[in-house]
Amino acid sequence: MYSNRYSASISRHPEAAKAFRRLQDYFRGLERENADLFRIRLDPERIAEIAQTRTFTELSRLLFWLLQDQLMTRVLVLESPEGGAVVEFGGNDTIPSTVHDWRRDIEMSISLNDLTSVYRPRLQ
Amino acid sequence: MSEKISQKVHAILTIPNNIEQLQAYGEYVRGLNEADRFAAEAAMDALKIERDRVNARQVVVLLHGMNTAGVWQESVRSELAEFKNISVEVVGYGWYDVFRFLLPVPFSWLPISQFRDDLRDIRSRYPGVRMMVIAHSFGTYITSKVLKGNLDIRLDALLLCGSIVKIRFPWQKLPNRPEKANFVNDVGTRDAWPILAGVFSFAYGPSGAMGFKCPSVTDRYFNYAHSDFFNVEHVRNFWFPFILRREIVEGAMDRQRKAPGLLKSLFSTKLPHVSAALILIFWLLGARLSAIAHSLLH
Repeated sequence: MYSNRYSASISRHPEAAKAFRRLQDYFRGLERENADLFRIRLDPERIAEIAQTRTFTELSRLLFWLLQDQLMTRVLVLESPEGGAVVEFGGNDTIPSTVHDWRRDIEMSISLNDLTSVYRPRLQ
Repeated sequence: MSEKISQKVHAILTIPNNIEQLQAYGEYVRGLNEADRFAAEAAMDALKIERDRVNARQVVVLLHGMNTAGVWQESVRSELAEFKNISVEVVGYGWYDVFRFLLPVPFSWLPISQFRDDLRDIRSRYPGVRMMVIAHSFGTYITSKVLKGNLDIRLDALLLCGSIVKIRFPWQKLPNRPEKANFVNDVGTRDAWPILAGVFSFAYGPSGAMGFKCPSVTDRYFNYAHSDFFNVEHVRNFWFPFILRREIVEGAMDRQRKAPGLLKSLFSTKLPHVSAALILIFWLLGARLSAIAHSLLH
């Protein structure tokens, strides 16, 4: 079960144990409902909401540990001004300066504001 | 997680051109090892949320106490004027004297219903905007009554100071209360008024001097008297982080306050009136005994 993997992080990071436990409960609930975890994507704001982090420091520390403990992967989604995703990137170091927006059929230059980061459960 | 990485990411986010921001960030993360890259990505996501929160529109409602013109409301309004995303609404209920204060049952319905109507009016004028209330003294009592009696009125955040709300007020039963991270009670450890209010009326309590100490509210303690919260330093250092980012900066006395004295403890019990009556009886008896002793000696 994916949610069981949070137990190691709960004991490894006692200062964020409550936040990890809340995320664990969230995923346990999804597993109970047989939700397809491959389709789950959480934006950082939703993670902050579920984990009830209060400050920038708490949230950035939690996101860091989620990545480092291999519980989640971060994906950057480029959204078209018309709406909808155009392309996904695995990290900021692989982003070109321009990309073809197939929704509008034009070349668009990419800025940081066009990119939305989402976190997906790392299931393997 | 490295503070240096957060600072670097923060610096990149201040680059005015969005495309240059992305290039600078891409170049920065390319040179990092995996752990530092994770730290930079986490910092970037958290900082973007914080920036969005700061930029999100918000209306801050200021409610004064009794027997005052609420001059602090104007000074807080002018302090907040620099933030274009924040609208400030100053509300009140006129001059409220001690006589009406001590008899809340027949008189308090008017300011309570006025404030309820004001909040509904503000909500309709700012649809979808986060609403926060900062209330002082009798204003805290009014706010608690409005929330208790009108579950449709929801606040995103609430900041009480000099509170005279009963310590055991059932915040936990109010579904429309803000969550604990958005609900602060600034306590003045030298503030006698909340204690006296609790002594003279069953309706009030010493939460502004003792804290609520309940799971629904975050108490912060300061070496303040009743109206010391309105100085510019306090507003800037403790209120601004809460208003702008919902960050609760620890109170100056949170870790070092002393246990309350005997008198304060007696007056802060569930039955402060009984304590007051007992003290008065002992005092009168003492005066009587000393008069008898005086007459016997002379």
